Amino acid sequence: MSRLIVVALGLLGVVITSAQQPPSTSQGGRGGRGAGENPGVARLRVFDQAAVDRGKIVFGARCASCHSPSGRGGAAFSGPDLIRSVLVLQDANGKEIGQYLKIGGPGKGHPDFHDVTDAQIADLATLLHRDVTYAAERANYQVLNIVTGDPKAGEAYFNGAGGCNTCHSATGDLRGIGARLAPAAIQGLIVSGSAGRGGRGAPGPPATNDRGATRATITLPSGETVTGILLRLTDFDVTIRDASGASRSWLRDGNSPKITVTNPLQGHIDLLAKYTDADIHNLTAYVVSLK
Amino acid sequence: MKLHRTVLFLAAAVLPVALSGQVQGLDPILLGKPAVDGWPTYHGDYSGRRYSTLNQITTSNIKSLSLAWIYRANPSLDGPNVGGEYKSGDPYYWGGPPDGVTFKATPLMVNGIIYISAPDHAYAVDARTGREIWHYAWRTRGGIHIGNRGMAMYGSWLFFETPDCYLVSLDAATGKERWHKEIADVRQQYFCTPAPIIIGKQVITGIGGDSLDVQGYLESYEPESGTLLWRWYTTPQNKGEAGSETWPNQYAMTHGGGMTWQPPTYDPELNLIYVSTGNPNPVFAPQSRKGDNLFTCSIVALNADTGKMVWYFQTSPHDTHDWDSTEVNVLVDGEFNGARRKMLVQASRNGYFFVLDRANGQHLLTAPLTDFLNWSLGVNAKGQPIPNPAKDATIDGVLVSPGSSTNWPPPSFSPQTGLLYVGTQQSYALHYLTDVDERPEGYGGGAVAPGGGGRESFLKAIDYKTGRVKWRRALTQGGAMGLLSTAGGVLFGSDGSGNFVAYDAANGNPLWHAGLHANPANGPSTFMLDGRQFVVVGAGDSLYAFTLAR
Repeated sequence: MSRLIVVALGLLGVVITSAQQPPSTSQGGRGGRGAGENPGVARLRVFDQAAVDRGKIVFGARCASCHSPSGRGGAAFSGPDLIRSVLVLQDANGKEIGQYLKIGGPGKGHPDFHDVTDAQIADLATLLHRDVTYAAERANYQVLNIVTGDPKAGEAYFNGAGGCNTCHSATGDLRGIGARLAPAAIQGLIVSGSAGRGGRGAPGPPATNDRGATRATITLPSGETVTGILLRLTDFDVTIRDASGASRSWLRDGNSPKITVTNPLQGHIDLLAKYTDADIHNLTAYVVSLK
Repeated sequence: MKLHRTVLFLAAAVLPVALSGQVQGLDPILLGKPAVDGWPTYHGDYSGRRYSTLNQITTSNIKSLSLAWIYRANPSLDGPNVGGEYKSGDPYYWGGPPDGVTFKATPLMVNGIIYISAPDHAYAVDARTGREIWHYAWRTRGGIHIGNRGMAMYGSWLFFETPDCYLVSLDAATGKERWHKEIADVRQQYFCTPAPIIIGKQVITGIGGDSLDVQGYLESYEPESGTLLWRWYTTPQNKGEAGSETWPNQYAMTHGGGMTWQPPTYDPELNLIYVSTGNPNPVFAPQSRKGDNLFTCSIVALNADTGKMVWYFQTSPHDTHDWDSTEVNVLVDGEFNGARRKMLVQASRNGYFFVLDRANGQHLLTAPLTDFLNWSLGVNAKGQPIPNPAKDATIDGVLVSPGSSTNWPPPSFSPQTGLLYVGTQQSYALHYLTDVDERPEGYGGGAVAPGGGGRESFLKAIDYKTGRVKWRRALTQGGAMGLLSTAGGVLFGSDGSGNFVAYDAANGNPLWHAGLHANPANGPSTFMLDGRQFVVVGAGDSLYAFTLAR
């Protein structure tokens, strides 16, 4: 799929439609997660699985019939949603929850939990705080079963309209990929051509032998040309890593030096506007089947 | 009240920023005019234009723009001025202390002193020398420490919000705390980033937090005591209220999100506050909130005295893509279809550009902000995008564009060119539904764009009369960026690669740049001080000031 697209930069170097892609995923919500984010203390809390399991037993016996098995309540249940419960959210280590179940709640129509031990309440609290965290923290979310497409239709697209077989082969570079990678990772690779790099947690700039890396050829005023992996391109400077692995940079003055950028993943980018979602799901089903 | 406001408003035209006879003071009526001797509020003035009438720095002499100073933030959480409700041994809720400082705030500059905040920090810095005058540190209870957009000033009092959602007031001369007040509950996953805005004798505060289906609101506090004056909820409280017909039930709408993390703009003559609200909750899993979900993803005009809604325009009915409409509502005065109008323009995160009459909310124009855009089926008779339900997140994923077209970083409008300048990007992402419960919670899904999703980034100059792009400049990195236009014909911005750049506002040609240690992360600002025009920009943990070499 990596037919080469070569785009010579215009006079001001404006049109770089196939130039390197930014490293991170999306800019995210909440006003600019991304550049400059300061993660601070790790936000993901770790929960004692044994306590969670014990909490589930208490919850199933004493809570689920009113608050629903998930704790989220609902039309068929008399009790409120516990995951969005302000009491639960404001609780620290079961203290407020225990106070309510044994003292505050019974006067307000909540069943009396005097027979429930403090240890059991602590387990319940651990379970609830875990479920709250699982709802609130996107890093915990699990992609569900995404293999819904028709592998035969995917194979036809691979060898036909998609043109994937111009660069890829089921018996070559993709052999056994379905056994190596999870379906969601495969679907991500199909639409992007790469897993992304340079973003949060990524290993940094591409290696010299990275066949998916964007490359640039620099033509100097002397006529000499240098080709390498494009590391940085602005209106004012350009940096590549040459074949020897050395970093080389030049200041730009208008169209000098001349810069030609090639992105071997351009074929993937071109398909973004052409795919139907069914095409993607079919392709995923096909590639996942290459065990 | 009306007469008082008008008289003071006229007076503002002839007074410098500072109140005479008051060393540190700032009179809020001065916020209605473009600042010259300072930068007294988040956008410089109420309009959100981020246009300066200063013209000492021009397209002709910009090559002589030179570094005046760098201020690198003190990251210590100790010192003489420390506040906060955190007690040793307490758990942190949804976050903890930052391990450094990043400036996303636009600094204030009043009477030669810069005031700037960051998550859990506030600073006063000498605008002539870049030397720190005082530092205030906040011991946090938690909250997502993603950013802080700055401070507000009333008289000699400063106000800023903390990630754990306290409004803190400081004495501007010393940095000593006057009081702090909880404005949202961090334990419920609220976190606070906005710069408060002073309107009359009110401190207007917004909030954030869309992780756990809480309700958005905007509030007004009395600056002396911190007493709550009014609160406007972004979604209805009860069935029967305006907008409640766009929600299935009360439980959905009181857990429906709609955050207010963009500092609002304000028209003193109309006495209207322009709020832009965030996305509805649950974010990617809409099965429990069928309907338009008013007043999320909306531009809303509130009466500044009462906080009551006067009109609204929803830019994304029933958003399902995490595209807050909390971009800046820029107030533009000019011609539209031959008639002079008071307008409001917004380049929105959903990939559309809107023009409204800001007196009454009448829709004037909707135009695409990006080239590719597949989540919408077009625009309805009211000028609103029509969502394509086939592009709601699914278990197996759907490919959605244009991504987050722009974001909170402030755009700029120049009356000189009639152009709105905005940093944009367009990309594709796979949107997955991960919570299939009939009562989903939190985000309930997500957007994944490995490898960037074919991202293209452009700095664009948009003619507000037509929505057409007059010029655009491709960027290899970035997208949304803080911008400042000036009467010198200069547009200050960045290129996503660490360069602070001065562009020609007429055509986008880069005229000057400085490579900073990090990419600029705030909106640039400018002011005159001792006869020199300074331009200040924040990058990473530092503020950089530039002025013409002599």
